[in-house]
Amino acid sequence: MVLRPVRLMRQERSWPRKQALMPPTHTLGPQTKPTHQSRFPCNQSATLGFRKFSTRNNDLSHFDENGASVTLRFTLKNVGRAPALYVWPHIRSILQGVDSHIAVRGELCQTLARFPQPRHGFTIVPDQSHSIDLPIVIGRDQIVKSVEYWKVPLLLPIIVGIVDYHGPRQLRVTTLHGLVFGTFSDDTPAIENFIGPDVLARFERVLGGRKIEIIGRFVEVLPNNWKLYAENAPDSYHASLLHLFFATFKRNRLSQGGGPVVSPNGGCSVSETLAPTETDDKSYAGMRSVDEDYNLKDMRLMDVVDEHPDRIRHQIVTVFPNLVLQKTQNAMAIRFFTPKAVDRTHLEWIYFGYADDTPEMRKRRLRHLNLGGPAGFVSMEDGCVGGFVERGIATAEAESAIVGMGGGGIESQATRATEAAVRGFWSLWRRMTGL
Amino acid sequence: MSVLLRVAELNAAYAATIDTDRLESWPDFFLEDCLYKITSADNHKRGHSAGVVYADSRAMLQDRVTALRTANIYERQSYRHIVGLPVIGENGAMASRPKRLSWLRASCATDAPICSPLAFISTGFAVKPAACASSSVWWSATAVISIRC
Repeated sequence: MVLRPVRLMRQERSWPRKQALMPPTHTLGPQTKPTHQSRFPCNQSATLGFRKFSTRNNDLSHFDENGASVTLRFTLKNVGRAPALYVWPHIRSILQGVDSHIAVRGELCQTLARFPQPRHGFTIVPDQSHSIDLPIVIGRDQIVKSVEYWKVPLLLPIIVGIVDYHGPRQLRVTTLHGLVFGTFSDDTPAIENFIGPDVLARFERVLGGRKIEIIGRFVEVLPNNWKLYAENAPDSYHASLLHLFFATFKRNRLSQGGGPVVSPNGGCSVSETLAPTETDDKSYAGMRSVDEDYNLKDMRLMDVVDEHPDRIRHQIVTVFPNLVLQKTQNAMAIRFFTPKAVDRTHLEWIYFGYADDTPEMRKRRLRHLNLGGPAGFVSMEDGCVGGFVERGIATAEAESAIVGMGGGGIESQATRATEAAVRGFWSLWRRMTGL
Repeated sequence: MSVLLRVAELNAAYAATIDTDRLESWPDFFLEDCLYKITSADNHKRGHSAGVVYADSRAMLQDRVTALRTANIYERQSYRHIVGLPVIGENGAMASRPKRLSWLRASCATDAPICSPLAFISTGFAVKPAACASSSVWWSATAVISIRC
């Protein structure tokens, strides 16, 4: 008898069209990856990073006609992992006349002191400042030829265009309170419309009219698919259960006021928690996480100063697909995450304060930031729980799960015991991918 | 005992406390009024003041250990300590810090994420104060603790 390898039948993949159902786990797997990548980035605005608050303009600093080469100096806006090169159209024409595939490799610029491009005759020399200047050296003959060919006047700046490092595709960029959003699609709505007025108001609460100052940047590697983090962030329900730090100090419970605000498209949300009305919370009695003997030795971690005319102590704003704006007590942070592999995600934390902080307030923010970040008392669990989920669902590829807490809709609610924002994320993701 | 040996002994004792999981004794290496910050070489270079862990009192370090033991959930961790031979400077020699940091970056340049609740790495750099009562004073006043992420 000859043993033959058995060919496994491909499992039927389906996803019932109910909002309260999480997708089957195969949507996290590699099988659907090509679909995501071909459909997703084209019609979506992704967060790129903070605009550099700088007075330095994109300028043509010197233009040496006498030398054998011409140095064009641009400012490379540091927008996350995909730095964009702002150039004038006529300069772009010249560059494209020299070579139509000018590629500015942002990550290389940051790591290499010099990045020569001998074939194209220009050199990228990043400096050490936050924004990167790119002196591009082009042979004078090439410039002259290009000008003759393209018939463009050299010294007439018109508008600012962008060459990104993917090549000639245009990245449409807009800013909102200093945050940079970008998209490759002409169909993406304006960012204000995409976010919706209710969520936009929460942006303005923290960022509106304030000059911010970055006080720290850290990258955390998550051992899970990006969508597991994307649904963790807007989930208003898990904090009191997973993050035992607050529960241990009887500081945060679901009966405390607050609830999610969800944008009309479902993809953007705000989760808020109001300040407790009593100092010692009795409702934790009997919960496993409560230890009566456990008290903070340094209570300055909880020393909150209300900076806004409301009682909101924790505010998590999420913008589909990859942005989180956080204000926890007096700590403020931007998070954005980038898929690096099917089961690997980079989560970037950008801590910030206001430029006009008093030294006392800045110290307070630094202390409160212990609650967030890769080693945060509260956010630490979010870094590992996605990996727990990946391991847990490994054997249930074709199964679905129910996220039915707080009904089946994606509307704003007045309680934190709801999964409305999680359903909102999945419903928008589903509409975009067509799965 | 020479200053060099005393600082080296202090560094060794500090690392041994962590290696043997006597974390409750770890805050005793610091003064009541101290600064313990875990940051990256990149943040240090840019002058960013925040840390992955930021504690400006011994009590905050004790809270870290208590949270690690009782409240937080995390993947199982194992620690690796890197302790260099101390360089003893004179008063005002703090300008040497960046050099020590770049040395540290070269020593542990890795893409490993900071996912541990506590990370303990000492560059082994100390400045000799004008009047030093005990070795723990030096530590709390001058420890440069940093890892690169």
